[in-house]
Amino acid sequence: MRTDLKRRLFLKYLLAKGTITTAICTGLITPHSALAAWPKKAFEATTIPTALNALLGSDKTRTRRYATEVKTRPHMNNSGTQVTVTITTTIPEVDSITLLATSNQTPLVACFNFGGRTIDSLATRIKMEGKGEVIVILKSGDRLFSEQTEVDFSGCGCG
Amino acid sequence: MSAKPIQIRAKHTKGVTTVRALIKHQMSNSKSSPINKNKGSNPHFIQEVTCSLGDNIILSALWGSDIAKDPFLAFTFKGGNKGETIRLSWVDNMGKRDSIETIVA
Repeated sequence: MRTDLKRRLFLKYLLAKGTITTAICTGLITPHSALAAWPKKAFEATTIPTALNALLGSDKTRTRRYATEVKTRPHMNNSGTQVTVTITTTIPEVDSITLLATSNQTPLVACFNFGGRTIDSLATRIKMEGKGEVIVILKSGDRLFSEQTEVDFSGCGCG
Repeated sequence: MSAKPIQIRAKHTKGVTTVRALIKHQMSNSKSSPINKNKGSNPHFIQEVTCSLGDNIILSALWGSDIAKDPFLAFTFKGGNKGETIRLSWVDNMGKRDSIETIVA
C-alpha cells in the first residue's frame, strides 16, 4: 500500500476506532464455528484498515515480489458487475486469502480460509462500483502479504 | 444459465486437484449500493461457502455482497486423489443453504 494512502487511511481508522470495541479475529475461529460468526464488522467497514483489523487483527502488510500474481478481467459489459479475479501464488502455507476492492463502499469482498492444504490458485468473480484497485492479502502464519492491481473498465465492451 | 443450483467439477492431474464451481444465487447488495441492480429488495447474498475433501475442510470462505451474481469459484490445491469426494455447501444471510457432492475425476 502506498505510504500517503496508508497515512490517510490510518487517520480515518483512528477516528473509527472509538466505535469499534472488539476486533474479531477469524484466524482463531475454526471452520465449524465460523458460521455463527460471520464478521459483520469487517464486511461493513468502510475503510480498508478497519476491515483488515476486524478480520485479520492487523493491517500491517508487506509485499513479496514475484511471489503472487493477481489478474483481473472485467466482463465485456463495461459495468464492473462481473470482474474476474485470479490469484496465483508461490507463497507456501497460505492460511487465508482476503479480497478487497478500493472502489466499493465496503471494501471487503471476501475472505477464503484454507485448512492446511497448499493452495496454488484461486479465482472468483466480484462486483466493483467503479474504476479502482483490487487488493489481495495473503496470510501466512503471522505475516500478511499484499498485492494489488488496478482495474479499468474503459477498454472493454462497446460502452 | 443452467437450471441446476450448483455446478461443480473436480479434476486431478499431476498431484494437483482443481475444483471449479458455479452457484446460482442472486447475490444482491444493500439498497444504498450503487451497484444494486435489484433496487427495493433487501440484501441477499451467500455468507459462507465450505468445501471439503472427504472429512477434511479444505476451504471455508466468508463472502460479502460484492461477490458477483451467480458466484464462480475455482481453486487448485496440492494433493487429493481420483475417486475422492468433494463436497461444497453454502449458507446465505437468510439462512438458506444448499450443498453438492462430486467425485474427483
